[in-house]
This record gives sequence, structure tokens and C-alpha cells, in this order.
Amino acid sequence: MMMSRRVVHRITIASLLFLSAAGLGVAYANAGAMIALTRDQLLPSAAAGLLGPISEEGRTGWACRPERAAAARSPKAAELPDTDTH
Amino acid sequence: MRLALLPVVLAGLIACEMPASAQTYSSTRPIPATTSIPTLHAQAVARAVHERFRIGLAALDASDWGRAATQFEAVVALHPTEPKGSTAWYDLAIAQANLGQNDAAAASLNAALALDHAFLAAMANLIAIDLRRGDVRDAREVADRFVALAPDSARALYSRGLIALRMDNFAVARSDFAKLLSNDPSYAVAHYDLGVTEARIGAFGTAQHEFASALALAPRYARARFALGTILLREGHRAEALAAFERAARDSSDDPTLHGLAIAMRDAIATSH
Repeated sequence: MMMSRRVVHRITIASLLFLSAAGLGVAYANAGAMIALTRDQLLPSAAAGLLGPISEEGRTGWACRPERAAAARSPKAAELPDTDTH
Repeated sequence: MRLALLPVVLAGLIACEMPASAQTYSSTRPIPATTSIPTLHAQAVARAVHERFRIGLAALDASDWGRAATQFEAVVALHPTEPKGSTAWYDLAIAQANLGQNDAAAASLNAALALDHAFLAAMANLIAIDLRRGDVRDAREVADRFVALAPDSARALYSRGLIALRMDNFAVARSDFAKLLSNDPSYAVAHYDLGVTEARIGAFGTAQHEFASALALAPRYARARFALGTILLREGHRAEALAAFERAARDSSDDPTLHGLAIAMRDAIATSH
């Protein structure tokens, strides 16, 4: 009777340890899944939009805003996305 | 004596006729000063090109894409001289893109570039349209030409960086975003993209630094806040990650997808304790 209690006790402890390990495994699996999920969400910013129309005088000269935007060194002058638009 | 001179003076005045000077008006439509058939034909074509450009540009301005496309198709059919030819193809592409005809728009921009090899705005728009239709390879080829012609162009560097990132070409992406930032360190979006590049390589410390730089420039930049949260979570800083997702959820009310993700991440961390 004493032996069987000891066995039951051991089985209980083993079961608890197993459940804990399983729980920990699930937790790790969840953490891994969460990290994998977030990695998929690390998306680059949006592509730049289309530049506007050009008059029949063509792209040369300062009056051509789209061509100036295409060549601009500054992101703002280049009409690139900002933190609110991507 | 004086009275004797009066008739002479009057006669002199009458004889001296003051000619009325002719008033001239500049003509907006010069009268053809030729009877040459080819010259008259060229003038008629030039007039048609001018009028169709005027109507087409007004239609683009009014978002009347179909009408604009009709006008610019008529212009290119007339084969006008440069720069009108390449410009008409470029404007036609804008109308076609807005009509959802992305393949036709790409063909029009290639026609513009065949006429004018250094047309930077056409390259910029061709990259945007190639990305819309999923032709990353052509977008990359155009972006390489764009960067070669305008090495400091923010648009060229930004576009090629994004394409390289999409193609897993991290060295080019890193180089282009870094150069964009060396030209303008205040561009938060480039810090964010450089952070994404570094994270993809596995350089999480550098990625975290870039996301933090983006947020220092734009504290309400929800996508950068979310990205920072993912790095913090990966590094095991759950409390800081939770705070980042919480703030990202608060700042992303105008982006339902990001808002939902940030809330899901926040709740997942909160319930996994």
C-alpha cells in the first residue's frame, strides 16, 4: 500500500513535470510563432507614386516639375512617401 | 505783317498731313506664308498636336482618363518631333495607368524612353508601373539605368533600394538606403527601410538602431514602432515589446491592418505571461 502510494506520488510528479515541460514547449512554440509572424510583417515602405503630366514643351527646363522631382536629391522634392503615407 | 503770315502757316499745317500709324496685333495663329503642300501639312500637324496636348492635359487635370488617353493616342499617331513625341507617350502612360491598363502604360513609357534615353521622369513612372504589375526584373533594370544617370536622385535610390530588398539583394538595398540617408539624414522612411534590410540580414542590433532613429525623427511613425516591437520581442525584452505594440496600436488608427496586428501582438504578449 505504501509502495503504491509512492508510485502514485512519483507518477503524479512525473505527470506534473511532463505537463510543465509541455506547457513550456507550447510557450516556446507560441513565442516562435509570434516572432515568425512579426518577421513576416517587417514589410518595406510603399513604392513611390506616379509623377504628374508634362506639357508639350517637354522635360527640359525648370518649368518641368516631374523631371525636377525625378532628379531631386531631397526626398521631399522627389515626392517620396513620408511617414504618414506608407 | 503778322496777319499776312497767317494764311501761309495754315496752308502749311493743312499740307503737312499727319499719317495715322497702323496698329499691329500679334497673331496667335500666324497666317501661312507659303503655298507649299508639305509646309502647310507640317503646320496643320503642329496645330493638331498643340490642340490635342491642350485638351489632353486639361483632361488629365480633371481625372478624365479616357478622354486624355484618346488625345495623347492621337498625338503619338502623328509622330511629332522631340520633345513632343516622348512627352505624349509619357502623358498617355499616366492616363493608361489610371485606367488600370498597366501593361499598356509600361509599353508607352518604353516608347518614350526609346525616343529620349535620359527621360528621368519616364524611368521613375516605369518603375512604379512595373512594380504594380509585378515585373520586378524589369523594374530593377530600369532602376539601374536611373541610378547610373542620376546617382544622387532620391527617387532613383529609394526605388532601387526597395526593388533590391524585394529581390533579397540586401547589399544593394543597404547601399542605396545608406546613400539616401547620407544625402538627407532626416528622412525617417529611409531609416525604417534600412532597419528592415538589417533585420532581414539578421543584424538585429543595427535594425533596432535604425528603427529607433526613424522614431526619433517621427515619434508617431506606427510602422517603425511596430518593427521596433518585433526586434525587442526577438531579443527577449517582452515588457518593452509590449509597450511598443501598445503605442503602435494607438498611432495606427488610419491603418486598419497594422492596427489589428499591433493589437494582436500586444494581447498575445499580455496573455502569454
